[in-house]
Amino acid sequence: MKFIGWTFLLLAFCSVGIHAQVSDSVIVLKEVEAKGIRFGKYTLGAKIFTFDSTTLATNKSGSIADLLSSRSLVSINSYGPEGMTGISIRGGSSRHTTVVWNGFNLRNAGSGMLNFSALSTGSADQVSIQSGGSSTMYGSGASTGIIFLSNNLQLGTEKSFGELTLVGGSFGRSRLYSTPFGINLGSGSIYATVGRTGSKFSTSIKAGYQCSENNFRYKASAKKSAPIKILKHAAFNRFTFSQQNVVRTSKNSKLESDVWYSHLNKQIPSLMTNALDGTADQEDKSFRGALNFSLIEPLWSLKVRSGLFSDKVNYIDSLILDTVSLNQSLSFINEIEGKIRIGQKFDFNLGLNKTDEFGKSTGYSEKCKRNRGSIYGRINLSPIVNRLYLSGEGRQEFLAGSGIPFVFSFSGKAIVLPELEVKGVFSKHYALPVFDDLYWAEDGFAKGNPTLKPEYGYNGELGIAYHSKQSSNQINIEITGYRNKTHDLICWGIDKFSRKSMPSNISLSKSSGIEFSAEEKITLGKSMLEFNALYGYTHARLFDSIGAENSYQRYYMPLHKANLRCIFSFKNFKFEYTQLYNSRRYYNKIYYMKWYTLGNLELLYFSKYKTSSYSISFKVNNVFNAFYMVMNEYAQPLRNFSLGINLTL
Amino acid sequence: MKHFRNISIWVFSVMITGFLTISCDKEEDFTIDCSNGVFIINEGAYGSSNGSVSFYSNTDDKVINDVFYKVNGVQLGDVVQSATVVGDTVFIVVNNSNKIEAANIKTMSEVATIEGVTSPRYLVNKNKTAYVSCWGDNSVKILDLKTLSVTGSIISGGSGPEKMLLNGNKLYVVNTGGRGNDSTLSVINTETNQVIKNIEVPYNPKDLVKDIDGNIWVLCYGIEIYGDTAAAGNTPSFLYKIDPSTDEVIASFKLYDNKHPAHLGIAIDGSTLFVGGGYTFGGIKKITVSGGNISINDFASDTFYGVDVDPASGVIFGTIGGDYASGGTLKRFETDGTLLGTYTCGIGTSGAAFKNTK
Repeated sequence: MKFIGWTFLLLAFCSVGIHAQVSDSVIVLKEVEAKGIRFGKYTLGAKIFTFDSTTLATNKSGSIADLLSSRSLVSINSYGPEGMTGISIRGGSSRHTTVVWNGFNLRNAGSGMLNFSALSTGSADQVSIQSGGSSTMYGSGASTGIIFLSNNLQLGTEKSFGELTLVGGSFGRSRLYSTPFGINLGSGSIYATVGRTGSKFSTSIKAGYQCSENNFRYKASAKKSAPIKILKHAAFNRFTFSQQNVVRTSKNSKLESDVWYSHLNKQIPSLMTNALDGTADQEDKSFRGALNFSLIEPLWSLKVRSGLFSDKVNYIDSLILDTVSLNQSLSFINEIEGKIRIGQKFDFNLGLNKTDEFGKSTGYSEKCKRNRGSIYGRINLSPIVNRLYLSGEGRQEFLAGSGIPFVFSFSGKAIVLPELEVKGVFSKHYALPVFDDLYWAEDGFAKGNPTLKPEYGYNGELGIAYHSKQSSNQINIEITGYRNKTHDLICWGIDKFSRKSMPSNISLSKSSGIEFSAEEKITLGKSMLEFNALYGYTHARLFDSIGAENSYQRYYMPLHKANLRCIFSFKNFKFEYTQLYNSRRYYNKIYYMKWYTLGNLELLYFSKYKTSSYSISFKVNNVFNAFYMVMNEYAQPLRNFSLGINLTL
Repeated sequence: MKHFRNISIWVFSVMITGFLTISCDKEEDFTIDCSNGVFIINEGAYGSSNGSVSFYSNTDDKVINDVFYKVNGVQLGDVVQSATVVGDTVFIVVNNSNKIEAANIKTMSEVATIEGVTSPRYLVNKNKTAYVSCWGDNSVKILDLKTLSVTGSIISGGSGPEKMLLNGNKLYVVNTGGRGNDSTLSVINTETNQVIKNIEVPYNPKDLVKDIDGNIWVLCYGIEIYGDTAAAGNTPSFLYKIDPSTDEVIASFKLYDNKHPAHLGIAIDGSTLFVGGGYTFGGIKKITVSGGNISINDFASDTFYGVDVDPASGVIFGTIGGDYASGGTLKRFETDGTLLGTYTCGIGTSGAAFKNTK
C-alpha cells in the first residue's frame, strides 16, 4: 500500500502540469499578517498553512484536534474522540510542537505538552500551522512546528455582531438535547459569540459547551469474531469561555486584553482488549489571560505583552485507588518587542522575554520553579533586486546551569517568476527539559533525571510555490522538502542500571520528508469546483545509539499521510467530500497498526438576509464504516452523523 | 474543455486512491503446534496492549514469537502476567486487561475469553477446578474448567494475592501487598473454600515452592522505601520455610539487607533453590541450605526480570524485559550455570510456563 501516496502525488502532478501550460496570468499571494505572530510576520520562507474562515466556522464546536486531524498533515495521536490527544509535525513529538496563543508560547512547564482535545476551535479566530523549527522566535519546544491560535478583534466601524452555532449528532444521549418527550437528538454542542466593535473600543465574548455520552459503535478488534460493540465510559463535556477587549489608547496605540478559560471532563475508555469498561476519569482546566499593548508609528513600533497561564490536570482511576495524579503548572510571561524600519529595505526587530514557571504534581517531591529570560531579534532585508527577500533571526535564552545554546535562523524567498517562488529556511532549535523530566520523584518504577541537558538541533527546508489566478480559475501548489536533526533528544526509557523508567538524552533523532499541497478552484457560472490535496512523507528516525541499524521510525508516525478534498458549490449549496489516508504506524519497535483511510462527507446550505446569514450543515463521518485505530487498541467510531445550524448577525 | 480535462484527472486520482485503499492487506496463514515446548511470557509495556506469548520449541531449540496473535489475529492485551498449561489448554492471564485467554496448545487457536476477574495474576489448577489470584478485589476466584467460567470467589487473607501453591487440600497464597505492602501467607481449604490461616512472614512475600521433603519455601521481597527524592531505605529480603502439616514457620534466612529478588525456583533435585529477577535485583543466585546454614552463590548475572525452573528438565529460564519497546530476551541455563542459548522474544519478557506443571 505504500504506493498509494505516490500514485496520488503523480496524478496530482499530471493535473498541475496541464494547468501550468494553460495559465496566462498569475499573481503572487501576499504574506498574511496576524496578531500574535512575532514582529507581525511569519518566519520568511517557512511553510505556513492557514485554515480558511469557512472551515473554522463549520468546525467551531469541535476541538482543535478534530480540526487538525481532518484538514492538515499534522499527525494526531488521539485515544478516541475527545480523548487525550497529542500532535506531531514533521516527525517531532507533541513536546516539539508549540501552541502560540496571541503571541504566547503555551508550552506546559510540567509535561511540555497540551491536550489538544481540550482546546476548542471556536475560541480562536485564526488557526495556522507553521512547520519547521522556530525556536528563534518562540523559544523552547518550537522544534518541528507551531500551531498559532489568534484572536483578531479589531477597532472599526460602530456595529454589533453575534453568532450562534448549534450542533447535534451521533455518539449517544446528551442532556443538552434531551427533550421532555423522551426523544434524544444525540450529542451536541452550543457555541455563541456576541460583541461590538467601535473606533475606540471593541469587545467580544465567546462561550461554548459540548457534551456527549460518546457511546459510539465500534468494531471490537480484540475479539476474534470482531463483533460490533458500544463504547462505554467515554462521556465528556467541555466548556470554553473567552473574552477579548481592544481599547484605543492614542492615535497609534491600543491595549488588548484576552481571557480564555476551558474545562474538559472526560471519562477514559479502556483498551479494546480490556474485559472491563474504563474506570479512569480526567479533568483538564486551563486559564489563560493576557494583556497586549502596541504602539505603531510609521518607522518604528513597540509591543508589550504580559500573560498568566495556568493548567491543571487531574486523573483518577476508581479501580486503582492509589492512581491519583494531579498536575498543575503556572507560567507568567512578560515580553517587549521593538521594531525599527531603516530605509525602504531594512528593518530591525528586537525582543526580550521573561518567563517564570511553577509546577506542582503528585509525582514531584516538592514544588518546582524556574525563571528564565531571553533576548531575540530579526533583521529583514526586503526586497533585494525586487525579487529576493532575506531574513536572519537569533535568540539566546538564559537559565542558570542549563547550557542553552544560541539559536539562529537564516531564511529567504526568491520570486523566480511572477507565479513561482522558491523559499527556504535553515535554523537551529532547542527544547528545555520539563519538570516531569527533571523532578519526578523516585518510586519503585520511575524517577526523574535532574542532569538532563536541553535538546538542540538543526532544521533545513526548501520549498517551491506556484500560484496562479485567472478569472475563473485559481491554483496554488507548494512542495517542500525538509530535514530535521535533533541531538540530546529526551526520551523516557528503562535505565539499564536501576531498571526504572527515567528520561535521558538519547543520542539523536533525524527526520526528513516532503510536504505537498495543491489547490485548484474552478468557477463555472454559478457553481464552483474546488480540489484540495495534501500529501506528506515523513521519515522520522530515532537512534538509540550511533548507527542506522539502531534507528527506528518514531512511534505513531505514518510514513505516508494524505488528505484529498473535493468541494462543489452551486448557488447556496455546498457539497464537500474528504478522503484521509494514513499508512502503517509503529507503536513500538516491533508492532505496527495497519494503514487506514476514511471518507467524510459534508453538505451545507447557506443564505444571507441583509447583514445576517445562516447555514445548515450535515456531516457524515467515516462514510464507508471503515475500521481503524489511531492509538493501538483504542476504539474509533464507525459511521456517525452531525447536524449543525449557524446564525450570524 | 480544459476545465473538464483537469477535473477528470483530479476525480480519477481520487478514485484510484479510493480503490487502492479499500483493498485489504492479505494476512498469511500461520499454523503452529505448541505441544512440545515452553511458553514464554512477554508482559508488554504497561497500558499499551502489546503483551504476547512466545513459544520455545524443545524440538527445534528456537523461539517463535507472538504465537497467539499470529494464529488468532487478535492481541492478547495489556500486561500478560502468567500462563498455565492444563491438559491441552493454555490459560494466559492478562492482568491489566482483566481477563484470561484460553487457547488449545496444539493449534494455539483461541478457546475462550474468561472474564469476571479483576487484575488477575496467576492460575493454578486442581483437576477441573482452577484458582486465580486477583489484585482487583484481593480475592482468589474459583474457575470451572469445564464451563470456563468463574463460579466463586474467596477473599484472600491479605492484599495483593499473587503466586499460589496447591498441597493436598490446601491452597497457599502469598499476599504480596499489591501496590502496597503485606506480610501474610494465606492458607485456603479447597474443600470449604475458606481461609483457614494467615501465616505471618516478612514484608511482601512474592513466590513459593515445595521442596523434596514437602516443606514450603516462601520468598519475601522486603520493601524499598522511597523518600522525597530517592530510595531512602530498605527492609531485608528473606526466605521462610514452612511445615505444611502444622502451617508453622520452621526456619528463616535473611537474604539481603537492601536487595530484593522477586522470584523463587527449585531445581529438580528438590532442594537447590534459585532466586532472582524483579525490577532491581537483576541476577540469579543459587542457594543451598544445610541445617541452619544458607549458602548463596552467583549463578548468572544479567538484568533478569523473571526466573523459572523447568521441573521436567531442570533447565533454568532467565528472562530479560529489555526496554519495553523492542524484544526482550530469554536465556536458558543448565543447573550448573552453562548457558544453553539466548533467544529474542516479545516485549517485556517476564517468565516461562511449563506444560502440566504450573
